[in-house]
Amino acid sequence: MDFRTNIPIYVQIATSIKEQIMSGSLRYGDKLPSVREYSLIYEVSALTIQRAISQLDLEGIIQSKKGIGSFVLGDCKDNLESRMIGQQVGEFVEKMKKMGLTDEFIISKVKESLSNG
Amino acid sequence: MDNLISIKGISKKYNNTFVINDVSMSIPSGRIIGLLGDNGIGKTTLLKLLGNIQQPDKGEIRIGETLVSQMNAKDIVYLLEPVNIYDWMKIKDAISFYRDFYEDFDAQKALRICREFGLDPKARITRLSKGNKEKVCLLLAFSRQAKLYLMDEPFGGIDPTLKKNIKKFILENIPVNATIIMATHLIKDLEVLFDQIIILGAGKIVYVDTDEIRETRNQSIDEYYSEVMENAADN
Repeated sequence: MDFRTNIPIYVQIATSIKEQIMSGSLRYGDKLPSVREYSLIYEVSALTIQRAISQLDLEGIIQSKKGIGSFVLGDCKDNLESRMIGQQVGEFVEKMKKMGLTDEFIISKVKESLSNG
Repeated sequence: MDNLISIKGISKKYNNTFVINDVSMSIPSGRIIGLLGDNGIGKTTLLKLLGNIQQPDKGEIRIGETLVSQMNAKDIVYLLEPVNIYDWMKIKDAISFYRDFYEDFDAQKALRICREFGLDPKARITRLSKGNKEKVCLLLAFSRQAKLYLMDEPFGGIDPTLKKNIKKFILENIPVNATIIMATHLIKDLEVLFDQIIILGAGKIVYVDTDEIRETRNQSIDEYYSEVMENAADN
């Protein structure tokens, strides 16, 4: 995987695993590869993988069982989708507001863009 | 994570000039650390102090609870510069030598890596290219089971094929929970691998988590390093 060097690596790995869950290549109940296996797949340190795993655990996307491994949690696909969409929309709105645009203007532009297709 | 190395107030002078001046830090186990800085700034000196090859004028270094000066050499691996290794030997002699000398040395692993590197165990080390001598150093170092690896420019003469595989090689062969401190100029090639970096420059030391630099400054390690060096030059 090619990483962006100015964004924390553990965040990029957590995102990559989330994308695998959303695309369905990792499913409910699946056991994730071990820290060592991930370390060789992504070519990053064990520590970085542990951070990515704890992040996903914290967000309730996977469950880590000590000494057994980490598993994809049940309803996380839907949660993930709504959360990632929420995040994208949030970022878009923030950008527009920084440009000094009013709510009405942003809404009208979104509508215009939607009707164009 | 456990603390592996405790450095308290160490200083080292050469010809009345401080190379290391009152440095203190704690380094945990299980870290891959890049040691960065211009040539001649003291990277090798710091590694030699940590490896008990030289002693500080002041201060103390402990690995775990034990003073480094009282440690058994076998707990540390200091990767010598390639020019210094056993030139008169064949690779397989060097492997036997290590096996006899270090209890934690795995000769099978050494021979496996030797094959992976495409080296002939019967080759005489003196006839090898610089890059291949480095490979011999690497296979000897990583066939031990140490807690701490100190490496001084281990990839100076490396060929492009291995350069692409350095990260994988290190990750495949490092024992669980060991710490590597590696002096290197290959910042761009290795910045994603490093958990932490130590920067030596203009009489001071920076010791920081790489993901913290990315998170709080939105900078790559290469950019951050250039900035630190420019600031040091201005002062």
